[in-house]
Amino acid sequence: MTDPNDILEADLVEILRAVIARLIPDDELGPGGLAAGADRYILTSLAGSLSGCLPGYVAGLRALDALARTEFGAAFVSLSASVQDEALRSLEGDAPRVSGGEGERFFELVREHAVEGFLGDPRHGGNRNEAGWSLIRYSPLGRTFAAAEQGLEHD
Amino acid sequence: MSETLAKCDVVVIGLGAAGGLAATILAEAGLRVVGLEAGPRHSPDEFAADEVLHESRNALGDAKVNHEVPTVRASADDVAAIATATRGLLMMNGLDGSKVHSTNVSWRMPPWNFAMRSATVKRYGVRALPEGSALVDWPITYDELEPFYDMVERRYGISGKAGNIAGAVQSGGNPYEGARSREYPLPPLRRTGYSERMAEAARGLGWSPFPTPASIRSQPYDGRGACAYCGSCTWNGCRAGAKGLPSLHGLLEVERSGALIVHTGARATRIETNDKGVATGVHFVENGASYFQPAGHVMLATYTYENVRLLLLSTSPHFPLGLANNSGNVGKYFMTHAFPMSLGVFPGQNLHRWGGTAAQAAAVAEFDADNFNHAEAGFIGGSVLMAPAENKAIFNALNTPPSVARWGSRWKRWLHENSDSIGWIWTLPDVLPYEANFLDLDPTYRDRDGVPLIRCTYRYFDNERRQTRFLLNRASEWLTAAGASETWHLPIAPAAVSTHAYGGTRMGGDPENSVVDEFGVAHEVPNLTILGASTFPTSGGVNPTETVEALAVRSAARFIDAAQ
Repeated sequence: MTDPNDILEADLVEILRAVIARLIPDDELGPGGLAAGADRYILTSLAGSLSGCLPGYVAGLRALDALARTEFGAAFVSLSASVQDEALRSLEGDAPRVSGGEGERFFELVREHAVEGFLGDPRHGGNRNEAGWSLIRYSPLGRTFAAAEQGLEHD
Repeated sequence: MSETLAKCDVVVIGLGAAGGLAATILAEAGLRVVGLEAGPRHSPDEFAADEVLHESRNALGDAKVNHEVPTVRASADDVAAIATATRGLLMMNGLDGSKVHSTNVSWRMPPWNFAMRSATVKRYGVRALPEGSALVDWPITYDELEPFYDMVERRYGISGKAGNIAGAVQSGGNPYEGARSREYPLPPLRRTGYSERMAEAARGLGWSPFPTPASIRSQPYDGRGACAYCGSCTWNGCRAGAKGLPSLHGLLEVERSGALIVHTGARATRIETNDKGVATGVHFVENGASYFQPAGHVMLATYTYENVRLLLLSTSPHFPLGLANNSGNVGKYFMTHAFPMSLGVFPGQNLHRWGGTAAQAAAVAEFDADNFNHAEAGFIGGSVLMAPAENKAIFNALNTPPSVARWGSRWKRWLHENSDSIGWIWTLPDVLPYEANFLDLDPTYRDRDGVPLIRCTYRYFDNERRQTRFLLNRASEWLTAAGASETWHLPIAPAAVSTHAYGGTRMGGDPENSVVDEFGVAHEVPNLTILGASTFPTSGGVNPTETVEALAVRSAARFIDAAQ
């Protein structure tokens, strides 16, 4: 298996980290995607079970950076948080500004993987200290649930 | 070089819900059976409660299906690409097949679905048949299949509440179900706070809710244990061993007796025929070595995509278009269930849906089959609606309501406040067969062994779109009646790659428009039986497994009768 540290070039890793920081921000509710290790999760997965997605990441991160430079005047990582959000929103939805729907497909891919790295089992490298599970008050499963625990009166 | 093994009476390709059950029954009857299973024997330590491992990565499908995801296009004018949106839509490989990781909701198909064409014409006229559809009746009736449904339910210990015993409607069950000969062997899975809330709301709407039947033991049965309600049931194996699987109910016994020889990690590559068009056996690869398993009879029981693929790959001078395909019917009339869901949020109410199984569901059948008048509906068919337990953290985070941002701090706050207050309803809109929807071999894409992938040419027509919208609206009404402040639904779109895939080797009396007869025997190959939902002429609006199993038992029983 490829070393996760070498799976993406350093500048692409920084763009990816900046994207994750906006998708799942650190805020008053607690750690976000970066603090939870979603970046680590994605890099580890791209070096393993998600290796098929690697070309999409390389192309998508480069396209996002090119969009940031042409439409917003600076490299993605240099933009303010609110402008980064605007750049990301331009990939979403009905009128993606990166040609052929590639931008939207990349956005959906990185969003899904960031969420996996935030709310997935920590064994995969993300959800550090179960930060994502704490946010949604989810406790790890895999035990027996009693009838009362499935009742609406249970707290 | 290929090693030729000792000839057996029957070789079964695929030891899942259909093939595992048929192989067991044939061996119990004293036949010499060999089973070829592409996957391994899984052990419970592979069944960690882990949404990434199972839903996102389909780890249990690594032996085969993950490496041969079909390609998809909407019409014959398009170029297909490998399907990407497959989260939670792939089968798995292993002894017992995908029943290992299925939720194992276990319905009988309603009587109306077996006669969908003639019943529609009779009630609404021939013009009610959607243009381009190729709707047919099944070659058998519900009543003919009933004894075999009963055998499946007894063997596995299906949990449920009867709604109709010999014509007498039973309180608390599904009043629309076909007449059954007796009560389920086990009571329903446990109710939950959510299912009780939803059942109460359904009654308020004038509907008749009942517990969803499941091939999961609610109590110990046949020496096997009961459900522990662990919250990691769907797309995961059962650590409690409570699912109704061939290997827990007879398969290992016939293997120990020597009547059944099981090859795991054995991938069938070709069904061989002689110059008379009779099947002679199966070529397979196991641990890199090639073998030929001669047999008097071949049972093909993989899954819809692979059943069609293996037939199309098994060309010969007698069958230049693929085995049993001189009629050109192999691959035709492909259908799938998408899994459209309505979701609702119940602010401030913890629903406690993290635990349990999605088979712990309140269900209604008011909108299935022809249980309501379709004269003004604009479509035919329908589906059950099911309100299940077993919440999923990643799924919910990816499917927040349109009124909420899809990412960022507002999204995060919404999840923080509502993750345990989200309720779902599943529905399985009934998809018709169309001439335009079919499977064939992809001309471009191949798997890692260089074998062409299956290509799905598949789209929805008005009947499917209207029906799906109608059902999602009923589901939203139900959630609202139960107290949801906001409801939303997944996109209305076909899922060509699905764990509910049908057709391609259609069952029928007419060899002009079907591949197999009512017992699954190929019209063109007298000693080839095809098992599984690939033989379904229509999809129905319920989960298919129990019907697959009942048909497999019927095919096996017919074969045993003929052999004696």
